[in-house]
Amino acid sequence: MAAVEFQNVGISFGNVPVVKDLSLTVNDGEFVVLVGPSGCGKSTILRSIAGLAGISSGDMRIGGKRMNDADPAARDIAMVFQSYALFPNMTVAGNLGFGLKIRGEGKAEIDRKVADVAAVVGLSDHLHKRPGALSGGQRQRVALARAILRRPGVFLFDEPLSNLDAEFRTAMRAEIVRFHRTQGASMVYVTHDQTEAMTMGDRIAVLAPLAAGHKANLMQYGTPDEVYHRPANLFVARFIGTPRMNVVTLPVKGGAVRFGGQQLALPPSAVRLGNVILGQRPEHLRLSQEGAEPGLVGTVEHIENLGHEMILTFSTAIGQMVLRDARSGSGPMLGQTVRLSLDPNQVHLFDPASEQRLD
Amino acid sequence: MAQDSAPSQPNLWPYVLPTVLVLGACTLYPIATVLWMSLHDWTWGGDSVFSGLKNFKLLWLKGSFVIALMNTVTFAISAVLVELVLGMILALAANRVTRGAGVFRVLMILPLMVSGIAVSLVWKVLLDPTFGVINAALAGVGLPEPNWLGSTSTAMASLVMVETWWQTGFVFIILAAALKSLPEEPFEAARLEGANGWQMFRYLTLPMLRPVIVTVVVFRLIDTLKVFDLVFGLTGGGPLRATEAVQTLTYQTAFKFSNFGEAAAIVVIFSALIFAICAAYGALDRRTGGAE
Amino acid sequence: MTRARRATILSYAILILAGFLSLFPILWIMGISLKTQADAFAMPPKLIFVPIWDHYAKVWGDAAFIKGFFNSVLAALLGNLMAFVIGIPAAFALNQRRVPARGAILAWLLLSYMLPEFLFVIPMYGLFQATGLYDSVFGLALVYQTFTLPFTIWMMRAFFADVPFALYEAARLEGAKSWQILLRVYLPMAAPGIAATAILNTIRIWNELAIALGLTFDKAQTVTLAVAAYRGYASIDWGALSAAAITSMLPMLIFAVLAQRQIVGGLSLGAVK
Repeated sequence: MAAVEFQNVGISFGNVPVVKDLSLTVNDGEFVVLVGPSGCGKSTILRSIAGLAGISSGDMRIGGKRMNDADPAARDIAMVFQSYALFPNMTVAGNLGFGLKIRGEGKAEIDRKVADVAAVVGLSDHLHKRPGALSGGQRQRVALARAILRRPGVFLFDEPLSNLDAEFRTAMRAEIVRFHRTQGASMVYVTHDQTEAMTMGDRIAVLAPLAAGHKANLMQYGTPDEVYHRPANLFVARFIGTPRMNVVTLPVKGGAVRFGGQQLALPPSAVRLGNVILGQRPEHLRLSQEGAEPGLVGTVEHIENLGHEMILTFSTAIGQMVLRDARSGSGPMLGQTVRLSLDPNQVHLFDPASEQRLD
Repeated sequence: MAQDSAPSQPNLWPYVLPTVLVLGACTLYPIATVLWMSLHDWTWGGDSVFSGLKNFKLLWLKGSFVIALMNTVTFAISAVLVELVLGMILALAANRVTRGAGVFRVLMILPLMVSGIAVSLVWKVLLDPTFGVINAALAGVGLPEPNWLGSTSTAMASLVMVETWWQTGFVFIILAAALKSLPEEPFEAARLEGANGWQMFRYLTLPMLRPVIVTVVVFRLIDTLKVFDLVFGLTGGGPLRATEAVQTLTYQTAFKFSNFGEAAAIVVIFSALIFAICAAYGALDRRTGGAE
Repeated sequence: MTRARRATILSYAILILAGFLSLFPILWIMGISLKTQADAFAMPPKLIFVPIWDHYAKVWGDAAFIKGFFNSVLAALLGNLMAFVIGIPAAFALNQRRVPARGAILAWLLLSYMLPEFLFVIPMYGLFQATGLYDSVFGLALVYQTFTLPFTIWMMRAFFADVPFALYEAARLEGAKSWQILLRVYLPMAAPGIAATAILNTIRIWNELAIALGLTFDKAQTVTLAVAAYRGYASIDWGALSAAAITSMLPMLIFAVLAQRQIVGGLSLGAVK
């Protein structure tokens, strides 16, 4: 069991920096998800823990020991690849025993360990098969079993569910979380899928690409609730949550902003600004009762009926607004004009210059 | 690709060392020796006297090298052109059919399996002016019976014909594989636009096959320039030097007349020509973004 | 009849004609090799005849031919062995891009493959005389590396490139060294490639003439030289000549039928990729 610490780590491919000034600690036994759009460096960070990508500056420690340049095999880690990386020319037993054989263990010992781990992941009947004859989920289990055999302090997962179909993905998500509880080892899990991030991680590290002009990759590091309910900046606010958070820039007048007819008082930190970015998630936006509440006039532009809920898109004087409405059936019609109002307790405010959260 | 970024990856020069050594022994040593030989009056075991460019001058004065070079270039260009056109027609035809394609492919690679010398023997018998089956057939339908390999006017064309029989299969195999790897959507889109077969070939197939065609032409061109077996086996360079090729001339000069200095001079010029073609191809390939 | 249908029928006609032209010369010579002298020269040619095996008996009674045949078998074995032992590690390293001067080595390989035979033969003639490699199958197999080695490396590199890089990384995480990864992961996965490469190398070596002509004299003469010796029979003994030609090509023709897929795949690999 081991913690992973990054201290001001930078990673470059040639002259192109991919990761800058990363400081982040994965506590012993913690399940951390690295999430972000493509190019945000999440896979590179994972591969730098494994020793498959080189660290250009700063320090990376595993279990307290500096591991920047250590051989991958000496890092107390095991990795589950996106493609599973099973050796197609070997049987399942051969795949599982490969590392043990390389490390020079005896045949009887290898057979015993392989049989044990196969029983744990439910592959005992498939040991003689080749990976090509297995289903996606079984391959996933072989990859997992191979990692377990290493008894590592840290498990690394590189988008392991992206090759599975949607139905199966949910089941495997639960299986990996259960696996984490039983193993008790630290886990670092890379995904671009925010549902996986929200449902699996003890903590989530939201990463942004340097190419988009960010000074460092790490946008926020916190629990799923923190990241969702208190996004630290505009990037996190817009990246986490589907449909995306509604975001509008509004002028500050007399310590308040106006959302149509709705007056919204600002906290002291926002009062001195000329403009403020206001965000609200689609599920918090409300349809006003006609005449009852002041609000923003909007016309229904698009309706997505998902059965259990409706996603309504409105065009308004200050831009598009999306509203998520759980009451299906009796909503407004296409082209109908309605009033929208904010839930004042669920408003997120950001500084337009720094894009950081204002409280 | 990420493989460049991993730390503590030893470079693998020991893995290529044997290749570099063997290749060095088999190519660098010969290149250096041949260059040296070409500048000397050379006899094995005896004294070799530096003679400057004398060997090269002699080649020019004797004229046989120039004739051989012209013959070789004529042979190479005609053979490659015919092979390319035939190979393309066959590849297009094979691309249209479904049944029997496998059998046809085997038939087309059969000649490729045969050595140049065996090909020569086969065709010497077929083309025999008096007893050959080809002339017998021509006589049967009342056509003139050429003295294929024995006349200066037809010997070169006969060589090209035999070479074409031998190697068209190679061009066919490669073009057929390339055709099969082309995406279907552009052709379907073109058909919806009302393009006819010729237009699709001219504006879609040909441009998409261009890199493959260039590669095939370069390979075949170099291979036919190096022609040896067929000339050695069919005509011996005759009649009256009409089919003398650079490599058969080199062989004669070195091993029949023991004139190694002059033979080395031929090899130097000829290798420089081949090198130039390879270099031009390499530059072209890099410019058009081909692999390696 | 539609245009498409006409085109398909025309395609079949072209292919049948080409297939016939491809096969006919070989079949015809095979016929002559089984005919009596009188039948072979008969005008018009006899299509129906009683086969005789005398010419094959003559060829197989010719010690020089038998020696040439087995020398070529040996040269093919040795040439392949050298090419794979030397070339496989090189192909692995060049595919991994972890070699200094990688581009230069690849260009050098291509050039070595392309340069004319006599560039190698003339200097090697002297060197081999001096070192005792002249007229030896080993010496021949060594000079054959000028083309087998580049071809082998080229092919194996292409097959190694098809092995997903994640497998390399996974093996590395398990503590495997580069040579273990090559032997246990890459080689087994590239096994079909090795077969295809070996077949094409064998065909090339079996059919080689110029180098064998320059660097052997008697005891290391190859099958092509043994066949070339029958040139003299061209206007006298067509039967023996044909039997020699057929005997020399038969092993490769059988290859072509049995390993068609590998041969076609191997030939097109370099150009299309």
